[in-house]
Amino acid sequence: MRKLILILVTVLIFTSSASIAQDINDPGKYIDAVNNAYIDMNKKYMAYMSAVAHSRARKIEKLRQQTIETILNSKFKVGELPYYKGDNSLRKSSMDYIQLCYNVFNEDYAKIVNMEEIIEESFDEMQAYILLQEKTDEKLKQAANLIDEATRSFAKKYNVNLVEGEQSELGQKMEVTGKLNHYRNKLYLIFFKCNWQDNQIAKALNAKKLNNIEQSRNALTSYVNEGLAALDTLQKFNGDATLSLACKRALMSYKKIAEDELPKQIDFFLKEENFNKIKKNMEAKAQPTKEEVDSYNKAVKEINNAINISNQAGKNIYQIRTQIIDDWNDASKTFLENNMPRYKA
Amino acid sequence: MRLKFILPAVCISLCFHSYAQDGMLEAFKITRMMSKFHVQPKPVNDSLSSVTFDNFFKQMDPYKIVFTREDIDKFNSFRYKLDDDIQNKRSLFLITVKPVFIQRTKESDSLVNLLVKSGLNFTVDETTSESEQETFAGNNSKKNKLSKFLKAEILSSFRDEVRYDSTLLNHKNKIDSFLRRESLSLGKRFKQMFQLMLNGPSTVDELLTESFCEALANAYDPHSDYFTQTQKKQFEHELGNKDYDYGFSVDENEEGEVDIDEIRPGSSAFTSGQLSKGDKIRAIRWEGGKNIDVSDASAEELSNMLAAGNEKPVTLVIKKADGTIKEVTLAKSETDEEDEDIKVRSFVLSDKAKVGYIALPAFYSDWENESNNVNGCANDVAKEIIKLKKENIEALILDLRYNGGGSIQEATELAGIFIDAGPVGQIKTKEPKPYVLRDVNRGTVYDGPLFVLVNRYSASASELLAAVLQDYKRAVIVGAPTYGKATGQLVMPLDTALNIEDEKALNKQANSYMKITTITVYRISGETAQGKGVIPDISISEFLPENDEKESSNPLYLRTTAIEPNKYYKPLPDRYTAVNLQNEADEEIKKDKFFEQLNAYEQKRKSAANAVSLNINTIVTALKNASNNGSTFKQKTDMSSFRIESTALEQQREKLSTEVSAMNTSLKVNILSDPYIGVVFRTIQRLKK
Repeated sequence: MRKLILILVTVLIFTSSASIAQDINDPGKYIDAVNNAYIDMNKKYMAYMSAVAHSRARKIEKLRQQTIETILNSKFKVGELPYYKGDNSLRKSSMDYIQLCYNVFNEDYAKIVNMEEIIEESFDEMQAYILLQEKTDEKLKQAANLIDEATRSFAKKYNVNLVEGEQSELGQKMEVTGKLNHYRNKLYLIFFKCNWQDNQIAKALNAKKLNNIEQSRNALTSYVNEGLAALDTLQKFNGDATLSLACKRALMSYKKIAEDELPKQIDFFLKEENFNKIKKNMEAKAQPTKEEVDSYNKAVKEINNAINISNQAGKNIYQIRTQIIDDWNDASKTFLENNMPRYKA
Repeated sequence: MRLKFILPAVCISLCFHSYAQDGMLEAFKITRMMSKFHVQPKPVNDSLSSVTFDNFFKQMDPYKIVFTREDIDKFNSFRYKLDDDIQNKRSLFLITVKPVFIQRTKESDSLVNLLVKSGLNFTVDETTSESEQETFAGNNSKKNKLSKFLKAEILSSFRDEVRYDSTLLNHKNKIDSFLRRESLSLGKRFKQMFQLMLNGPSTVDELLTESFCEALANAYDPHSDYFTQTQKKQFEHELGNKDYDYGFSVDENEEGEVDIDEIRPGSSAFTSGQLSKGDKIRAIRWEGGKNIDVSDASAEELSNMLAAGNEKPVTLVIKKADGTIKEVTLAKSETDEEDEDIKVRSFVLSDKAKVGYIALPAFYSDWENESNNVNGCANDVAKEIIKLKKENIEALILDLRYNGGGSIQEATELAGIFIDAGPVGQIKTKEPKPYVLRDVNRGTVYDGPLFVLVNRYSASASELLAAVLQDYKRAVIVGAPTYGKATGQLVMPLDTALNIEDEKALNKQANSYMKITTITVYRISGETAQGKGVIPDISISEFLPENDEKESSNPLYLRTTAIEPNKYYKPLPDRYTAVNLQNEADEEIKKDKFFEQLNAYEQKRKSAANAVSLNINTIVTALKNASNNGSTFKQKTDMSSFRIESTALEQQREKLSTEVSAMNTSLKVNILSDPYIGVVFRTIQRLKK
């Protein structure tokens, strides 16, 4: 009853190389021995994938280091296996597979972990980060398929009957994890694009640089519209609309910032600049005419009004921002709790 | 004879031989610096030698009135040897030139003196031509050449004067006294110049060395240059280089004429939008007074005059680089300092369409706050656009005419106002791979129809801006092909061990400096504006200047070839695919008599023979005929094709400040009578249908 790697069901007992040596003439046992050599490794890296969804960078990095250790361990175990009656094919494929896993965890995921620190700097980097993550997962999937192939052809060559069992728990979980990550990534990118652009607005507001405020404001409006259109195809995951609804709420709030609140502040900046000039002018006048006094008083009234409106807009923006983040975080948590398989090595 | 007027008062005189040798060492260092930093370094060979040879005599004797043909023939044995002399630091060439130069300068000095004293005869039937002016006279014909040269100069001033005051033609005595006055003034200027060359603060040896080093630097490309520490200081603290409260400073150019050297952003001079660097000031008029002719005044005299009358508004009569005469009224701004942050003004033009108009006559940066660049011109333009959007404009005109450029960062940020984040240009240094200039700000401030007005004086960073907006199909470029300067220069100490990445080292004090062309600028399409400018989508003919000064007018201008286009830019959909923009604009151009007259005038000028008469009677008759049959024309259009208003916020200011209101009124009059703005406005209106 031998199952292919990645779809192992039962928890196998660690088999020492010494015992393998005794049954080395049985091709079935040989396959088992090879598979057993990387059970720990597979479990560890599944735990890693699960952690990526549930945990933050530091824990992920710790798990990555542990995974590398188990990979090296597996490499050592397979390396100790003899050839099967002079046939090195399965052993060789396994070594290649383990090496690939090693590379992925040692290099690709290291890159991904490192990247996590810089991703918040720009939307493009976030997009690249998520893309890289999905590609790397894909690489592992393909590697697993290759070793699957190698095992099949070895079994066929030596007339071993491989029983194709039901999809394993591990396999199922991996598949769900993959789909879920993909769905979540898509929504997250829509959210993040607006969130990041809104941060640009905050920066520009701090610098009082109208060129950047207005450019970012217009960019935010168009990202909101683009995101709302994309949401149509991402309404539910396994019947669960929590995350997509949260995303929609966030976008509508960003729209309110861009279209209702910010223009009030921009208006104030321009009026303030203008008023300061008028004020200097007025103060320099020894004897202003009645008409001038009237115009000036009107300008004072206007600027005071603009100050109030702008202050209120500032408060509103602050509130909306806090609410967007809290709401998104809550929804993400609920969504993951409900949908992400848990796996602990 | 460039720069020789502004040589320092204190100079250490060295014995000739050692100085000249130092000079050749300087020249050698220049070749080393060029091979290290120039974007397209040249081999030190016979060809470089020959160009340096020619440059040297252009430098020493730009009007070809000092040396004779025989002298040059004699020196010609050095033409292809200067490269070897530089490599071996041999000074024989300068040693050979020196005594001849001294003798010939003295000779020219006394000849000019004689000619002016005995009175130039303006009634002889003789002509001069460009080719005659471009050749050295023989030993025996030098006096004749000088006489023609002086007469041509004086008669050219006369023509300008007539343009400005055509009644002059009817008064023979006024003409005579004008010519006499001009002769004396020109004679005086030349005497000063010759004296400075021989007995000036710089020794003749220094003069020769500096001219030689400049000639060599120029041989790499016309923008590369060499100067001494004192020249550099003079550049920075030029006598006339003080800011007046009107917001501009003046300087004497190489011909001793006073022109505008710098315009302070935000000042009355800047916001008038009518002044540019290089404009010559012909006359000034205080409010309620008469014109005071200042064409002969020195920078210092003019400076004193302007300072004295500082409280009143002044009208300047200026001659633009293209020869047109304009009057510009400037007020001394009473709230000058805080006025600095509105440097760009915007107006709403309206008839059947509502169109925003913003003029940007120069770029400026926020030097104190470079990372944020809040006070740079891009941010100011953005603010005006936001104000204009509130007025519900349907299109925007951005006027970059006479904009001589400035910071590349500003050009990039300005482009960012109109395009989403992305590449805006490419820069190449000596390295094979270009680097990409990027607008990093996502989003736009304005995405409606955009028309950018340019002319032959729009240069450098303004060409970069026009080019990127054209490449993205973001704007319709209107006007005449731009200047064509797509290179960048860096000033650095003459030090062969220099690292140009090190900013401190770049600003170090030294005895001499170089300006080296270190970068070339490319469009994102891979094309370059170098030498050819940005070709407008709608072309409108312009008034051609007498001295064509474009990048390509200098035969030694740096040639660049196209590079790979940037892969990541996608042009926007073309707004006007369905129409032929040029045809639409031509319909509007036809309606304005201004252009008809302009073309007739240019036609006449072109057909005027190459040989220019030096007979005053012939000239007066020709000028009278020209004015009778309408071949002269006003600089303004009679067509008022739109109404003009300030933005709401600006109107608020106008109500409370007579200065602001007066300034805006005068700006509005200028905009209304500008034929080019008229064509663009009416074309936008046509396209709306």
